[in-house]
Amino acid sequence: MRIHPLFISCLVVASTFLSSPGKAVAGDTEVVERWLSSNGGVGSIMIEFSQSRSLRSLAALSGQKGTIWINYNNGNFRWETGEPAATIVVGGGSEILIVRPGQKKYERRKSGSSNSPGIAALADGLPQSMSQFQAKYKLLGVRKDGETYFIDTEPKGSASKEISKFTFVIHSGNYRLVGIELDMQDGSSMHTVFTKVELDAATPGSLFRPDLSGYQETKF
Amino acid sequence: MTRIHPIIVLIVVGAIAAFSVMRVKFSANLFEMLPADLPEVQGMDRLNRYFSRDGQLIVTVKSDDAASSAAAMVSLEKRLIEAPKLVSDSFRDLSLNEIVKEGGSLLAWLWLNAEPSDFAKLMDRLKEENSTANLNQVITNLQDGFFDQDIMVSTYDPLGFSKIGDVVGHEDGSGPDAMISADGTFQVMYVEGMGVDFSDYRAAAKWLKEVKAVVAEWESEWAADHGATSPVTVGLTGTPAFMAEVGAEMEWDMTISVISTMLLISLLFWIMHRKTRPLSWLIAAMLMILAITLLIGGVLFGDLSVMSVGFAAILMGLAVDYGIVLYREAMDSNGDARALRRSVGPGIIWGAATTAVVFLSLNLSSLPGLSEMGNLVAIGVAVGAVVMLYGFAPVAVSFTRDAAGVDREFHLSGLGFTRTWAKILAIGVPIATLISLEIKGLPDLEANFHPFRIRESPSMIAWHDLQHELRGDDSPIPTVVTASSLTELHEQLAAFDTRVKKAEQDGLIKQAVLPTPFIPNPTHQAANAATLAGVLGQEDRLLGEITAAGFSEEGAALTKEIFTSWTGLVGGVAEKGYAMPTGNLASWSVNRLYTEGDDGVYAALGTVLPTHSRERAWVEAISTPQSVSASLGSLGTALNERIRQDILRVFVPMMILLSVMLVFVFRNWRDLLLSLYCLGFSFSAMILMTHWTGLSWNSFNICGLPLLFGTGLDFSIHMILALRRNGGNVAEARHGIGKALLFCGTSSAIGFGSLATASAYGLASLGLVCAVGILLNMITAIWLLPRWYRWIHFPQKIVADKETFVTDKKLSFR
Repeated sequence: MRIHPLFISCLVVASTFLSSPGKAVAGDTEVVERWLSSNGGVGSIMIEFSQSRSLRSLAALSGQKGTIWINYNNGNFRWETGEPAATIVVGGGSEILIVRPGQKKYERRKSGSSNSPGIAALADGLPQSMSQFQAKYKLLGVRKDGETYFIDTEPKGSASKEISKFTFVIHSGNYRLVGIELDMQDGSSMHTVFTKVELDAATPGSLFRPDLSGYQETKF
Repeated sequence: MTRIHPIIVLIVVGAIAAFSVMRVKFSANLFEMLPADLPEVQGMDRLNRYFSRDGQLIVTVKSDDAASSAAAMVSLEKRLIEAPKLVSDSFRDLSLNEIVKEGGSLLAWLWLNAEPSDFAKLMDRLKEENSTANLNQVITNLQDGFFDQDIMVSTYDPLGFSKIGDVVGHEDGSGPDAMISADGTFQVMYVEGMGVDFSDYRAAAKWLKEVKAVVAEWESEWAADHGATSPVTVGLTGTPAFMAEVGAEMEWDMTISVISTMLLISLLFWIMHRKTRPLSWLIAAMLMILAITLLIGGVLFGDLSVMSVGFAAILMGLAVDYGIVLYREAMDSNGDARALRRSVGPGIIWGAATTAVVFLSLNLSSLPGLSEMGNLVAIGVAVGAVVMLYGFAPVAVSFTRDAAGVDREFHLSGLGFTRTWAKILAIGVPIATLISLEIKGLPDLEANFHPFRIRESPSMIAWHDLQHELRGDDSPIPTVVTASSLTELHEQLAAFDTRVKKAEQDGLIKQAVLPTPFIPNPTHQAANAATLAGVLGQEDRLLGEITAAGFSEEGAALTKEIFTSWTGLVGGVAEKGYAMPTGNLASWSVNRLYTEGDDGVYAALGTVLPTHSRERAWVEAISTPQSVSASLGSLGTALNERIRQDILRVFVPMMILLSVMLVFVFRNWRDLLLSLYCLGFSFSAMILMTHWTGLSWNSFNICGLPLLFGTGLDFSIHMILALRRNGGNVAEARHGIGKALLFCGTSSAIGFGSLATASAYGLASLGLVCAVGILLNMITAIWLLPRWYRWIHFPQKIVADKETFVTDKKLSFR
């Protein structure tokens, strides 16, 4: 069967229109809901990631690998980068603890005193319902590229400062989160790929209480 | 005179009065009307004088999400800046890009002005042996990827110039953001107006109207582009908005109160007398009185305050009384104006004198605004008495009674209260009042009442929204510290800091923020400039290290800007002893907290957060003549305290003075006591109404008490003198002077009552209380006083007035 080129053009235009960010449509919400339901019932999560950064203020690209643990039951999280760990960030209560083992120094900050865009925003945990999602993010639209959905959002509240777009990257087969992309107002960007995701991972209490013996408190 | 058609006179006099009103200039400065010795009032006055920028409009944007608010604000700002000759500059929450571009000069100045010990720490970081290590640490932090706001800033500030929290007093970087709410949905922009004289409220109103038109056009376009997804609400507040609204409201209040009073009084006259010619002459006389009084007031007082707006309506209501008394008595004057003046002149003159004394006694009040109003009314009643006696009287005698006219006239029906009821009420009402006082106690003044707050003001609503969004329930109170030199200003700030710390320890204050880092410090600057001289030559090395560490040109831009600013500032210190910040953002930021006034006063603006804002203990603990807080909360408490003192200071001398005057008026102790008893009776009824209805007292309308006493005496003087003239004939007195008093009382109540719709809360409450009080005085004078008069003067002659009532056809009643 021959298809009229005009028909194809219309389809392309229509698909572009339908998938353009800034206008969430009914199908987009369905993708989000399916992703959110995959987060439901999860008590804890461990994510290994690889992050690449293109910052306008830096001359060259940079990157880092790390791991994040989140315990939904008690709201604790641990962020760790480097092998061995160069920086450890733990939080979940009224303060965040930043530890630099190499320097034997740590800093305590009030939770929420410094707005946390990017991967640090996950320290509050992934949303597990549409109401939680809508409380934190404004859905701009959903794109599909191969086996991947890109859920484009604008963070709400103070977390949105300097961020023009925050994208959850979802596998279209199992609707699991496989990455995060961040676009900043100044043109910088960060792409984080999850190399390993473990649901209901073991999160012993000691994970969120690093030993600070011999460490000096400071301000980084 | 009577050959001129009254309509012509009305038109000419009306034009003169309208011209006089239009020439009136109003002062929108509300603080001039409050006691100048109260620290709170001084605080407000100084805040207005040194830190309120007449042309600075505050624009607020509210949306459901932060991104929409930010985008809307940027868009609106662009539109306002593009409007021709409307806005010269604007300041709003800046993006990181914008801070990097414009914040360098402010940071440079803040560091130059900092404590030398803090500056030395910065210089230490910049030393060759330390700078590379610090830069590498920043790169390491960036590598971590745990990106928070601090990391974001450090990507553009690798040398840490923005780590100035310790210097400016916010160690953890927290503190209320003056331009954006915590969730980012509410944003604020300061817009500098141009093209008009903003000290003139009419010009400010015109400018504001143009701004509103631009905003309305932008709102339509935004709604069309974004639909229901990103609705935004725009608010306009700040000095030009307040000035425009207050001034416009005052003009409107005066116009409406005068017009409504005139119309209602005219209607009342028509209902009672069914004649138009005397009405026309009466209105002409009232307008003439208004015009003359405004002329004198303008010469004596210059600009009129918002409280003086009320004087015109009050004057209309009082001055018409004299005309009505003349008109009623003129019926029996046989066309002789001189005889008429001899007959009722003393009553009018004494009435005007007592009324003037009462209003002049307001000069003893702590509220200057009330004093001004009292002076204008006193002048007005004096002018009114003269105009009526010598201008209206000759016209009034030309109106003779005719039978048809009598039939059409309003008649007081019945004799009112019976003798028995008059006695019951004479005893019962005071007893009921005593019982009510026992149950409910003395009526107290409303707490937290602000007499000059304008109600339903869009700019005030927008201001409250701003305070709530940015500060929640805790609203820090602006505090102004002043001095005659910069050195003294720093001393005053240090002394204020000591007092505040003591007050914090005592639990009176939760927190205080002083602007000391933003006040130019010549000593600091001189010391730091000397240190800086050696570092300025290191710029190229530092920029090289920044590049070598991996930062781009954008990453080094802020550092470059700071060094450029320092070069200029160091020159300024050498030339003038101290430098002020350069650049729009820097100048604007510092000017919000520090000014060098045209009057040679140096002023600094801080904030204080009291534990209990309405109490005065914290005010007394921290205030001195050089440091005062603009606290609305405690102002209400202070005004109430002051007014309670005023009641004794004003009321007692006034009562003594009036009593002395009454001795000369009556020359009879029974009549003197009767007159005073009528006042007490009306006051008792007022207390009962305060206890058992929605009527309440506040620091402003309590000042109406002397006015009520004065006008109440006025009524009793007229009635008692009339009863004397006719030998105690109740019916005759009621038909003659009673009708006049009915008109006088109702017209005065109309005059005061028209203020109940005024935009200023204080004026509205004053109008309501005085209207109620005057009506009580009137009812007492017309329907009770005559009975009481006969009771005390003719206790045995209880049949005579009834016979007079039946047989005298001229005085027949329906």
